[in-house]
Amino acid sequence: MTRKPNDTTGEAEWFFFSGGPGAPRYGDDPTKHSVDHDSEAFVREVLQNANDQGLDNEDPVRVTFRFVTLSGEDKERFLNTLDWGSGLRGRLNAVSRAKHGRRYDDLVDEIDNPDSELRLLIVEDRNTTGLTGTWEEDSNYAALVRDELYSSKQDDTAGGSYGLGKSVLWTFSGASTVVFNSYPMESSGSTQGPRVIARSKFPTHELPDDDTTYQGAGWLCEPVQTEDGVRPMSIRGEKAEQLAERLHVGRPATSGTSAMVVDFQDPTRDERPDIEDLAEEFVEASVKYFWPAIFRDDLEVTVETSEETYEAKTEDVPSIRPFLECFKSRFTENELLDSPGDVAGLNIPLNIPPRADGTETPDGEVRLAARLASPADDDTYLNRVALFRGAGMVVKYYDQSRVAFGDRNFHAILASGEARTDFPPSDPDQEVDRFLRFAEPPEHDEWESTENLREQYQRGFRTALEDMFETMRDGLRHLAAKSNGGTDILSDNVLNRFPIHGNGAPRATGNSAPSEVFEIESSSRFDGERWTFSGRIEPIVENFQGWTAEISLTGIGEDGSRSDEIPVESITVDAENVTKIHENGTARLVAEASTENASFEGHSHATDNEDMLSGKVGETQIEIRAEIQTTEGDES
Amino acid sequence: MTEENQLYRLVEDGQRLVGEEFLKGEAKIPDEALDEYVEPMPSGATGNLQTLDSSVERILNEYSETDTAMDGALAEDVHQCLDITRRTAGDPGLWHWIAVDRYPDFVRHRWEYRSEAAMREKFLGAGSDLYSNAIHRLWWIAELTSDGDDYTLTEQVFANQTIVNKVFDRWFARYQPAVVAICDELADERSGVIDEATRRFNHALTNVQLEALSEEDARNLTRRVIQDVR
Repeated sequence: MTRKPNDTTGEAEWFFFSGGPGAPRYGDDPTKHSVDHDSEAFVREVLQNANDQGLDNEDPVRVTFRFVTLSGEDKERFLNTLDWGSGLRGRLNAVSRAKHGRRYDDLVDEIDNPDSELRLLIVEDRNTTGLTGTWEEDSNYAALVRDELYSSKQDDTAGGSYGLGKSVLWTFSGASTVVFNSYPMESSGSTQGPRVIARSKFPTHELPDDDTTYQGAGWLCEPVQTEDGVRPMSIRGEKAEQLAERLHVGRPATSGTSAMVVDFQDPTRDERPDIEDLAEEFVEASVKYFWPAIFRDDLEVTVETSEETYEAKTEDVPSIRPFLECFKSRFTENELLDSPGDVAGLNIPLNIPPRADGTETPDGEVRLAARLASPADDDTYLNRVALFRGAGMVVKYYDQSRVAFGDRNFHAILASGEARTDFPPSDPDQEVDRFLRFAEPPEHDEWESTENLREQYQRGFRTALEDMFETMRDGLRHLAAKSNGGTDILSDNVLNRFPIHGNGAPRATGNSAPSEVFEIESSSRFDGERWTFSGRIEPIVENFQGWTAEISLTGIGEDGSRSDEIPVESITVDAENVTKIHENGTARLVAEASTENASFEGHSHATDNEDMLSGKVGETQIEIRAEIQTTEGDES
Repeated sequence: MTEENQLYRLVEDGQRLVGEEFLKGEAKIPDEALDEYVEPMPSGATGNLQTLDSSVERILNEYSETDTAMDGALAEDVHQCLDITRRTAGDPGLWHWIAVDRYPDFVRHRWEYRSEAAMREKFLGAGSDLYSNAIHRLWWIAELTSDGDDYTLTEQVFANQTIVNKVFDRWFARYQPAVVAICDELADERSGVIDEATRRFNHALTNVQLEALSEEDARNLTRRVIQDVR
């Protein structure tokens, strides 16, 4: 704690806070254990951070992952600039001597070995806010450089509201050290920069030649004495530019941040993967989780190695292609999927409870679109629903295989909040986006009931989410259902829940188109012995001379094909001037010109307690065939 | 030693090449026109097309036109030479390629031209409709009725075209235990019985969940229905 603060032109040096007696002690980086980390998670978290920091303009956020491998003199020069010898090595030795183990020991050996290579990964984002603000305030800078698990993000659509994402930078650094070079976009609109600082996250340690306990967090910085004690300040100006160049973290003078992971390694792997393989994994993970943002030109991702430059293109990852097609055609008027490749969509309501402060919220809706899979499709995410909102990041590929049946598999999307339409978002869309953002846990991989939701909204948030998913499932069932083959009762029940389909009145007949001449209602049920039915028929045209209606019952097969007729045994009609005629098990009503409508009731012959497996009793449909006689001729 | 060949698919746009004259066998589709619409199966599926070529050649020579017996004579070879997954076989484009590009002569030899729509189905059917494309139909029926290399039931089924018609044109035909049970039980029945029993079976399936039936359950159900119908 007694380091002398450098003046403004001073060299960068490592500064570690001393804990003092009773200060909290840190083991390994606590955030390291909080997310299931693999390179896919790394890419997802890092891109999410950059994507959320996008500037409010028409240009996309551009992110470049750059792999740099250093060996020999280059490596030595780099380590010298990083002040490895006097700044970090001794501390890592101290850490490894303490109980924290072999990992740090191996690391020091590895880095000191002149024959071994050092792998750096630079994540460079452009058209983003960069590290704005100071150490003292609630700022981007403080959130990344000072705090643990604390988020300070752009606006309500931002992917993160926990700040967990940044920790992956250190998790993937063998040396637990990350160097930042940022050109922050200040509130004045001008870009300030560069601003360079490195941060290490070690366990608490003591050095052999002093009896101070260091907390573990360290900065390669300009330590400045302030009223509150020493504060690590970033290096600015020309010095910063030179330092950045020497540390391979130089960048064009546009707003954004370059973060360099020193000694990049995937903590979930024992072997070091080949850089080119890693680059391809990065591209694939970028597209897998960010295709909505990439497709909307909100995000561009590039991966550079010493040999090649890869661009993340939505069309290059076959597994997400079906989802992209769903997204492109999500406002199709189709409500049924007929052939492979067809896309159909439905609106799914989301009824958001009032905010915690009592402010009423508008009811919103999200857009479900599904595409019938073809065997030619990549089936990695078959029968999954890609959930995403305005941030353009797929929160989850939600498995809905239970909804698929037979050969009718699908890929689907739930385009929500500010991603629902391609137009400027409506108030309900904005509220939906906000609601779903708070429904995301720290990993941003679910929409579920969270503490954040409890804080932000009144009771009913859990039901709102559950209802949305339940309706989504029903919607999928409807979309994936057989589109031919007659009566589909399940599908009809589902239709009742979607206002766009009208009031969901029972269908009069199984296969024919709804009548334009009659209004027909009917219902039928099996009472254990026989089928009973009732209904009402009303011509909706004026000036007719009379009409007839033929009522019959037909058994149908599993696939909707017609089976045997079930004879109608009895029928009664409540209207006068209607004649009943029984013919071959069919009931025929003949009405005169004065009959404006007729209600009827009837039943089939008894089934004599037939066994349900006899094939004589089963799903049955009522068919009503009505004809009207007008002065111009007959219509039906 | 047999050689495996890459399998292809006719893309959807390629269907427009199939016109009435082609269906009637009065015109051919030029190779260069087809090439534009043919692509390798994305799964990289392969088949033994040399063997299949000679089987088809043999059938064309040995059987007179529209002889239904050629179904049974070719089905096993189609199934064995196209050793593909059901998923691959679910791609209509594969069967369209096989019928239109590879074996159009077989399709016309087996099926008389009655109407454009009917003949189109023989060339361009497939997908979830088992009883459509002329060769897809053979493969699927063999797939659902064979037991390893044992094609006894496949032969029995094709020996009785009423079974082929009444069973494989229905939805329950996608569920193998039911197919095996019903085909086996109906193999020696009169066509009137087959007609009524399959209809009853289909109706009974509105009361029980097909996929919950074991082969034994399906067999009992079929027997029960047949007894009633006889």
